[in-house]
Order: sequence, then structure tokens, then C-alpha cells
Amino acid sequence: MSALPLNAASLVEAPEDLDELIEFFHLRRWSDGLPIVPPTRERVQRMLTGSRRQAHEVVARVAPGFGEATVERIAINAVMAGCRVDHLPVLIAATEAISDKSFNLQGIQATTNPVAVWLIINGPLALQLEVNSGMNCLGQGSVANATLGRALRLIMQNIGGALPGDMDRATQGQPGKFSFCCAENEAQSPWLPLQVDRGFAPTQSTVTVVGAAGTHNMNSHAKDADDLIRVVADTMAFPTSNDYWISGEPWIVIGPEHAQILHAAGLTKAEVKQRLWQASGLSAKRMAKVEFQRTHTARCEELGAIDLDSSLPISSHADGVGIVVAGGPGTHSVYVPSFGDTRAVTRLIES
Amino acid sequence: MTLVYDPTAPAPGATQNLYHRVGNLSGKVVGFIDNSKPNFNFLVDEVAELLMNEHGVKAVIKRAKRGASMPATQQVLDELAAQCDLVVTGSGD
Amino acid sequence: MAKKGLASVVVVSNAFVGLGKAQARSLGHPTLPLAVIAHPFGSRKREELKTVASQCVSQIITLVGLP
Repeated sequence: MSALPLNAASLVEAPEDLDELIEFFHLRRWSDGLPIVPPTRERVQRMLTGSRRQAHEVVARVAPGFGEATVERIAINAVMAGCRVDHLPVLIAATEAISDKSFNLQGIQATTNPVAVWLIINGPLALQLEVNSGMNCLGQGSVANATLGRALRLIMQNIGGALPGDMDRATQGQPGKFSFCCAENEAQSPWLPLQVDRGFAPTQSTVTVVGAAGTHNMNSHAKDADDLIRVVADTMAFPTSNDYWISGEPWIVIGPEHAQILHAAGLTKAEVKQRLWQASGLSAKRMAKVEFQRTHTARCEELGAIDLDSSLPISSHADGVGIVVAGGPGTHSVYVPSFGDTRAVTRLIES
Repeated sequence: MTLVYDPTAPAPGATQNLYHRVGNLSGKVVGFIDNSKPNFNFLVDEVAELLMNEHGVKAVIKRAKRGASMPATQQVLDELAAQCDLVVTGSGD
Repeated sequence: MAKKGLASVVVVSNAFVGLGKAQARSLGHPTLPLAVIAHPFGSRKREELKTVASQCVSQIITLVGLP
């Protein structure tokens, strides 16, 4: 047998008893607070069969600790989170995506802001892996949605080293930091799916990562597109948002019923983005004075001279408003404000 | 006992000593990178004044980042590296 | 900056020292000098900043200004 490479994960002795073993992981701060599935040699070996990549191949270095995310370490954390073997390629692609410079994982991991990494799965794999895109897709009840997001959080915490209260400086955090994952409801979307907007084919499967600062329910029985756009845009504009001060990239999860209303009015996805972008300007005087100063410093090159009478655009261009269609029946869409200084990244999932 | 994998990754091994002393500050040039967090600009002003008035610093150069979570531009880094003996920056709130 | 051989000091509030140290260690720079000021810093009144600045200058001198 050949010698193990230097970046091989180490095996440690742990108690046989499951309750004691779970406590062993909690004591070392290797879990998110929930019980884990023990990453034994057998389970990790089985998980590794989910990808054609070599176990010790380095996928990325994960900020802020810059630990090496090898395929093996991703598999270990996937086992712990309760993932199935065919989930591994999604996590490899997601780890690559969060490590892209434009995502700003360094900022996201170490900030006082409550930032969760939202995973959006597109393409045929979303169906195959049964990633929920319909009713309660951002809630509980689906193995893929629950464990993929959880595994990515464990990767960020264990490999990236961002432990709450240490390098993870979140003032409160948010429940999406346990797991935040869904698929796009491509079957009920009137428009082309997200991965096509982002340069991939409809037959390709992708994962898109978003630095999400929360979820806000938008319940509207509006029957016409103008009315709906007006209330959604009004919800987007709040003075403590990170998107306005730095030119962000907010997202809207449009429920299928709302999407149908917009589509029936003849609006394309690009037109919806344009309309929302135009209508969501924030009056600068609504901001705290110090936030306006910060905005001035951060956006003076982009916006030129701004004063308290200015209307601030939420992002530097209309395409900065992200749209994904998801959810089941009902009059709801979800506003997902972003961390601000982050851009969504999409990666192909190797199958 | 049973064997399980450690899910963490060691911090990158190589270390570099970044502790450089500048010695007596008299006649030296000090650069500041303002991280654009509230109040840091005022602190920079106060510190700069003290360094010049009480410690003989010859000149200060103040530059700002667009936001705290963004790196300073290469241009700013090059400029400060070329002209300063000491650089002071901020991190966190 | 420090990588270019230049003397450098990072100013952090005491709520962020742990992050600063852990981050410097992770990046392979365990000796990066930190000047620590009291948290919360961002909400201090303008006149209080003179005291903070004076504490900050003492630390800068101790950290890198002495021969």
C-alpha cells in the first residue's frame, strides 16, 4: 500500500457508544449543535464513490482559516451531515463556488452580519436528487435540502475554521446558517431556468451560491403585474439593508402563482428585473446619517455626486436583482436581501 | 473505541514573520488605510496628529478602502509601500 | 504591506482580537502586530476618540516604534 499524502485526513479514536461519540464531536466543536452521523472509514469510503475525483485532490482553500478542502474532507463532512452518496458532487461544486473570489467568503464568514450561504440547484440532477423546489422548499422535510445545506455549513466551519464566537463574528446569525438549500421549480416557471441565465445549458445541472442575509415573506394577493411589482419593490427598499450602501445583489424567490401573473402580463424575466430595479430606489434620507456617509464613500465612483435627496439604486444595474422561481401553491414570494459585498457564483455539478 | 475521521483541516503550515520594527518614528512617513468603518477616519486623523506633533513623524498619507470587507486596491498598496516607513490599518468594528 | 518588509500595525477593537489573531495565524502570519482599542468603537463620540487615539499611539510605539 502506498503512503498517504500529507493532506490525508487523520483518523482519531472515539467512543464506540453512539451517544458518547456524538458528545465527543460536540466537545471538539466539530458539529453545528445537532447530532452527527459518525464519519467512519467505511462511510467515508462509500461517500467517496459518489465522485470520480481523487480523494486527496484539493478542491479549494476555504476562508477565513484557509484549510484545504480535499474531496475526502468534503466527504467526511457530508457523511456527518447525513448526505447521500450522490450528493457529493453537489458539495464539491458548491465548495468551489464559495471559494470564488467574487463570492467574498472571507467577508461572509467573519462578518457580524447574519449571512447564510443559500444553495440553488438547477437542472436534471435537482429532480434526480429530489431537491425540493415546491411546497415548503425553504423549510424542513426534504433530505437533500436539509443535508446539503448542513454539509456546506460544516465544511465552512470545520475546513474554513469559522467557529461561532471565534472567527465567525455574527452578532445574532440566522436559522439559515443550519441549512439553506432549494431547487428552482423549473416545471412551473414561465421563464428559462436560472442556470441558462448564467450561461449553462438547460440539460446541465448547476449549483448557485448566494450570500443571503435572511428571508422575508411577501404575501400579496395582487392580481395584476403592476400592483405586484410595486409592493415587491417597496419591500426591497429598507434603510438598514446592506444592498444599498455598497451596491448589492438582492434576490427574489418568486412563487409560481406570482410568476404566472407577471408572465401573463407579457413580462420577461429581464423586464421584471428592470421594473423591480427601477421601482426599488431608496430615498437616501431614510438611512442613518453614518450609513449615508458610508454609502457616499462606497458608491461615489458608481453614482457620482449623491445627497440626501438622491434615490439610491439597490444594485449597480438591473441584472443585479436575482430571480428564481420556487415554491408551491399560494400567494407568496420571498425577499432575500444579500450581504451586499458578495456576488452569486454558479458552478457545474459533475455527474 | 472506534476510529472516525477528524473533519477539520489544519491551518496552512508555512509561516512568515511579519513583525518589522521601524525604530524611532522621527522623520518617518506613516501611511493609513481607512477601512471605512464608522469613526475610523476620525481615529486616523487623531493618531496622525499625535504622531506628527509629539513623535516627530515627517508626513502621513491617508487612503481609504471602499468598504471594510473589501481589500485595498493594488494602486493604494503600491503607493504606500513605496512611500511609507510604517502602515496602520483597521479591522473589525 | 508587511510582506513587502514594511512595518505594519493593524488596529482592532477588543471584540475582534480573537478574529484578528486567528486570521493572522491562518494566513501564516502569527506575528502580525495588533493595536487593541476598546469595543464598541464605531459608536464613540468624537471627543472620546482623542483618548482612544492616544492609547493607540502608545501601542504603535511599543509594537514597532522602539529600537
